[in-house]
Amino acid sequence: MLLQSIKLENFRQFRNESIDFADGNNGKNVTIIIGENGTGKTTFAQAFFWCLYGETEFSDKNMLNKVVASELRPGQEAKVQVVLKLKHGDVDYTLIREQIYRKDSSNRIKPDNTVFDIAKKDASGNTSYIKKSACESEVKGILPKELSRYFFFDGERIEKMSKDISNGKKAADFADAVKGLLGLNGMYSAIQHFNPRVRSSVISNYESSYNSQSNAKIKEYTDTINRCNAEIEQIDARIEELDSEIETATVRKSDKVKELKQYEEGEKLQEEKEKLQRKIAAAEKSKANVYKLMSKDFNGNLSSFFSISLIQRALELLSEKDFAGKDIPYMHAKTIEYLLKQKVCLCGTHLDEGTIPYAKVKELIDFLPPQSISTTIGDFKKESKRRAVDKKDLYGQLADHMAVISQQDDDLTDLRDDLAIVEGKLSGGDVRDKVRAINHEIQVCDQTIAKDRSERDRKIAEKARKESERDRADTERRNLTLLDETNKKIEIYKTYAERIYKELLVEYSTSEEKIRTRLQTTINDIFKQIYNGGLYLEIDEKYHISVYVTDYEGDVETSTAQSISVIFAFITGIIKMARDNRNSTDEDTKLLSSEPYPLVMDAPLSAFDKRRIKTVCEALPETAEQVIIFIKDTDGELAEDYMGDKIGSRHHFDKKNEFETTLV
Amino acid sequence: MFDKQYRFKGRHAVRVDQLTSAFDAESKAQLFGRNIDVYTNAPLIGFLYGRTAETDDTKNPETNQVYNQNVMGDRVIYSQEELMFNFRLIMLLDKQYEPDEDKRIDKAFRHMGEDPKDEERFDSYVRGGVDVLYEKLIEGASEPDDYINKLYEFVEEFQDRFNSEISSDDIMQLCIKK
Amino acid sequence: MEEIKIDDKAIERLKRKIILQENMNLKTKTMSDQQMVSWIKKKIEEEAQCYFNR
Repeated sequence: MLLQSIKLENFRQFRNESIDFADGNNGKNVTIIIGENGTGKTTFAQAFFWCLYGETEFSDKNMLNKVVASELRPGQEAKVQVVLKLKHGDVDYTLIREQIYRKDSSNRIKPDNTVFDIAKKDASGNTSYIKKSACESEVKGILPKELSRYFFFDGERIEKMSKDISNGKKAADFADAVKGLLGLNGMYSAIQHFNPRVRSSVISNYESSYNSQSNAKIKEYTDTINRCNAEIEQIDARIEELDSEIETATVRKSDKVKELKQYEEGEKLQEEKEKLQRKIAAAEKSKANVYKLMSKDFNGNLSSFFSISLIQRALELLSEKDFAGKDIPYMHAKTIEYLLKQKVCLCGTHLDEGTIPYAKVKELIDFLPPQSISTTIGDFKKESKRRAVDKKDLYGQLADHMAVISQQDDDLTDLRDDLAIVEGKLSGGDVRDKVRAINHEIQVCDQTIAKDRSERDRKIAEKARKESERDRADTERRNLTLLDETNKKIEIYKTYAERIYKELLVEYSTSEEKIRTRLQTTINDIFKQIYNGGLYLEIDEKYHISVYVTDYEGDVETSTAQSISVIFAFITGIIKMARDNRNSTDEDTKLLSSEPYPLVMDAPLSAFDKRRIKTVCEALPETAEQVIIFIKDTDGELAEDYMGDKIGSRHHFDKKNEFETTLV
Repeated sequence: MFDKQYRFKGRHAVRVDQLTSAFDAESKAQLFGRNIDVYTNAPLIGFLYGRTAETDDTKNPETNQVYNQNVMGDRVIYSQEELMFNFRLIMLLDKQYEPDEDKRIDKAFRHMGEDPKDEERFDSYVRGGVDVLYEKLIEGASEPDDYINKLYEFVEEFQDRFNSEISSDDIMQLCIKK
Repeated sequence: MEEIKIDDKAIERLKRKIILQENMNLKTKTMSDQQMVSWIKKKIEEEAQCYFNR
């Protein structure tokens, strides 16, 4: 692709400006456009983008020149237009993108949708217009959007691009750029035209063109083959489903297992809770036991405890009296009555009523039980003594028990506090139930996985069977077809096609590797030019780029500058290689179709160290068919100095005011 | 005396019932094991605290009968000696009832139980003692902890007020002395 | 079963022709996919015919 010219109408600060690009006549293939930051370089670069794809990176999507916008009266409209003329292959393209802006009654500017037209003139001079619906894909065929940024080298976005390179993020994009630009597209396209999976390909075509009328059996085999293929497709679909299900179940299971771990905690807490509850119950029981002991002690000591003080006083009282003296031991009143009745005393004296002996003996009754009390008192004292001896220290006993209870109460309080803490942690239902539920889910997942896996195995076996069935049918058919002239021919054509297909596939991957290696070499050559070999890089088969610094003594820049250099070298490497391919006389290389692309760079020189600029300037014109550079005033002189004889077109931005810039 | 059934009536009956009920469901502990235990010890309490009480005839609203709690005759006879001992103690020491010492000794020993007023006096101490025990051990308590605390405090108070100066040795001495 | 004989040189020629044509077509866009497929088939059949008659 080579740019011929671009014309801007009312596109932001450019009311009516155009540029013709140096096209390589007289060896002059460099176009420079000078302007300070803020004069519109970026805008200009964005104009390309807008024309090709209808998008820009501006946050303000309103492209209309502000002066024009302000001059509009309500109801009036103005047009924004970019016309890009370029040549791609043998075809000349004119791409026109337009957008109407209207001022409404509330003085607001409203844009319509953009209108895109492409006119093309082919090698024989015939002009035609591309259908609106085909315009986008036409542009894609010229320069896909994803690749466009490799050509519109933006000094400001370098940082991001270099990061992408170093962490291998955009490796696939690079891969595509390389393959696309360096001529593998032709081969790729050929492969697709053969691919048996593509319905209308050469091989598929032959497949379906077996003349079924010439031989019914062949038709049968063809049907079998088709049926098997359909079934195989179904099986593949099912296998994909199963894989997805297995994946989901596996992920779910691992989630649940993780969840379970959370609850392990909870289960321990549950156990602890129950342990505490048991301890509390035991402590309460033990306390109740103490209550029982206390009651028992109380009950067992009642009489002594309550009476002892009275006993002391009573005994004191009694001790002041003397009862023993006149008492006759072990004699009862009944004895005296007996004697009185008998009228004879023990000693033989007559006891007649009214006599002194009688009176004296009768007196004795007072001193005998039941009248005499000394024995009773003696008994009383005995009982007193017994109670005194029996008396236990009830108060002391109860005090001891109370101490135990106090300790138990403390323990119970502690246990209850602990329990409260544990219960607090266990908010939300019985943990055991949750754990059970989760375990159940895990089980379900395991079952699903096992079931699906075995089904999958069965399906794979089934597929293998179908495939052999199909292959058998194919072989049989082939045998039959060889017996039939027409079909025999088709069989032969198909064999050719299959062979070509196989070989193309191999060549594609071989070429791809060759290209990659060559690219690496080309880039390293560029580095040699600029850095005298201080840097070199390697590209692996996944297009991951590793940069190596070989010259630590020398003046290799900081890593940011390094990355810039890498990208610069990369892009120029690709473009150079494409150009070399095109101009190559080598037979094999000619097979690679490389379209040259222009190198459009925005402020490249500012990214380089002063020392490098000379070498960069010298290398640039050699890399591409067409070089277009936007540079700052300050670098402009350097560019003139180093590239002067290659410059075929010069412009510079003249900023008239905030809203208008012209090109000189 | 002390050879037949004894009846608590009215509020005293209610209180005796409370004093002999289990205050802790877990252990089934009781303050007093049986009604007889209250009967034998209440008079001592009544006397020591200087409390007597008249018979009470509060009725049970459900049955419309006067509350009663009985101590069976055989139980009373079984504890006769204890009851008599306690009776003697009180007679000996109740100065308010009988200021004369020798007369008290007679009431306690020689002519024990001959004067019905003596038994009457004893009974009034029984009732007064029940009231004291109720106030000290039952009133205001609801949880087993409360009962135990009240019991402990009662015993502590009793020990301090009545038993602190008593020593078994002294008593032994007094017993030996003739 | 009869072996199908393929001319190796023919395969080489075909590959080359096809790739060159594909490259050209990418530039000029004269043929659609369908047309390309037909063109390829024609070339194959031409080669095969020549070989039959040998």
